[in-house]
Amino acid sequence: MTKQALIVFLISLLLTLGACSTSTKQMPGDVISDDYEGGDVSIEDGAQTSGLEGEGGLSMGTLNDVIAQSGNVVYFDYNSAEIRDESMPLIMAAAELLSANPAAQLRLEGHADERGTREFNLALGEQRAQTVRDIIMLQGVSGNQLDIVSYGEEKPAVVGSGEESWQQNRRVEIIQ
Amino acid sequence: MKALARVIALSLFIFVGQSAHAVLEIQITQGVEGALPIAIAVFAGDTYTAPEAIETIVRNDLARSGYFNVLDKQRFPQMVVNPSQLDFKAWRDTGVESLLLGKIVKSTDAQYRIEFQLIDLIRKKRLLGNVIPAGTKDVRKVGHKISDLVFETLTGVRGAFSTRVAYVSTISQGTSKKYVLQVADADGYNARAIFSSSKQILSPAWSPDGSRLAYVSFESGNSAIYIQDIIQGTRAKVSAKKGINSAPSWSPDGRHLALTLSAAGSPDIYVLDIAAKNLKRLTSGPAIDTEPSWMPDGKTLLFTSDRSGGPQIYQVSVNGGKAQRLTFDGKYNAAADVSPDGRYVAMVNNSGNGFRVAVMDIQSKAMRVISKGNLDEAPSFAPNGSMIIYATADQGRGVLAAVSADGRVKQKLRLTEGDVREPSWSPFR
Repeated sequence: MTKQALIVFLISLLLTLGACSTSTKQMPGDVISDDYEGGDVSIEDGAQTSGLEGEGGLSMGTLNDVIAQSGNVVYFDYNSAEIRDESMPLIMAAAELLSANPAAQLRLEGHADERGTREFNLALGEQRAQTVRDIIMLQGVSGNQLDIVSYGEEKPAVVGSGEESWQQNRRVEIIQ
Repeated sequence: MKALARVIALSLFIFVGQSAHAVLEIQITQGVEGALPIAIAVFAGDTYTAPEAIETIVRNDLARSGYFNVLDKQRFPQMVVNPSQLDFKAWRDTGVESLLLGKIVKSTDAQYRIEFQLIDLIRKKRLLGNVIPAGTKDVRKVGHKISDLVFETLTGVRGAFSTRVAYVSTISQGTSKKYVLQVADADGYNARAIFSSSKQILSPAWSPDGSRLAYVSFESGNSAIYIQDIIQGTRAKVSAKKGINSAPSWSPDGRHLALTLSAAGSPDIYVLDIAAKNLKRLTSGPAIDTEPSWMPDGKTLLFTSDRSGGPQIYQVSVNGGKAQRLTFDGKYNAAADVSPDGRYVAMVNNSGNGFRVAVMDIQSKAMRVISKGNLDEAPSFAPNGSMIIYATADQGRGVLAAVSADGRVKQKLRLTEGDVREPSWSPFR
């Protein structure tokens, strides 16, 4: 391990410890992480925060405020990966968090409704997550801070047919 | 086309893996006018220790195909038929034109000889006369073999009753789900789990020799492609790159796997040399390119692309280059599967009435919608090209259905437990 890498490692370790001690306080009973069932995918806990730096804590609060108010989900039109205006505050808050905290990471989970083929929907879910990622990166965020996975139509938020269910399922979840 | 509405419900009881007691029910929801009238006599000496009589298996196979009108046992003029005492007139009077009769002879303790004859009652001619040796456990196999021979003799098309179907079933266990990749006989019997996971499974694809299945599993959290030997149960991970690893399709020679990867940005079609492990990229550009499917000559592939807006089917050379658009009817055409003779392509089509299975003549480009659901998907040709199996929804549940390639005969395969989806019909064995 080079000296530089060692320093980076030690800093991340500190951040991780910070996260562990602060994150529970900051987000009591946060349903966002409970929603996420992909428990075997390694999302480093430490990536959730850089709470040791004042600015970071503030940004974190901002994203959490937006999520607390309107949720962590970006919704889409049928067969479309275009971002609606209503989703911009959430995406911008995510971008702000990441640019203020270069060690922080977010995971973007893309989904589709049940209409159309499973394979095409898998691609569509990824395209939706990529669109969200691209807007975040336009704010100067490194692509390394964003992890993308698509589940296509395989993990619906709501079971059932009809536009009401379908709209809930055409989405990208921003997961910390 | 006037279809004769006929409903023959056959309740077939099977055990599915550990889930036990699952029942697969096959319903012929639409038969065909002009089906061949045939009688299947009770096989003499069918006192086998087997779970079922040979003639029941054959009767179900032929009836299910929709190509035959099988005479009800209650109308038999003779129960067990000895060829020397065959009453031609009595049988003809029931309206049948051919008769299958046979007997089972015990040769040693666990070995039998199954003899059968197919008789043309009109011309009083023997069309088939065969003997098949069988062990106690081979009853179903022998039954399907006889069905294959009868089907080919009377229709001129090779029978596909001895083939199998792979599919994914989903079983809810409390709040969680279990995904199971199953392989069953084409009549739904004998289903066995070859892989199960708490994560999603997609797109099973048979190797051309029927010995292996490629499929997509999310067990690692992201999509990855595996190849599993279905006899040994051993498997190898063949693609787990960043992004999508999906839609595997075997080349006709079994040496290559076409697949969809998005590691370079957007989903594109690649061809993997399975032994050498190198990848060749066939498509590029920002559009979604997915669902590759080989033409039987191995020289070109069909795939789905939304490069012109909505998803449509395109054709590209195995060497890459410019792709040609094949479909223009309807706003959504995807998931192409080419018939074994290379003349037709089955796909998921939406022309405004829901997602349905359509078949297109590749030469004339004439397209015909052959299913009636709203969410029909994953069409897969039988190896003799006579039927197409696909996934559909029935009262909110995923079930499998099959339709003849001309749309005239329809049948539903329904597991009484869980959801069934992603069917893939095996090659000939």
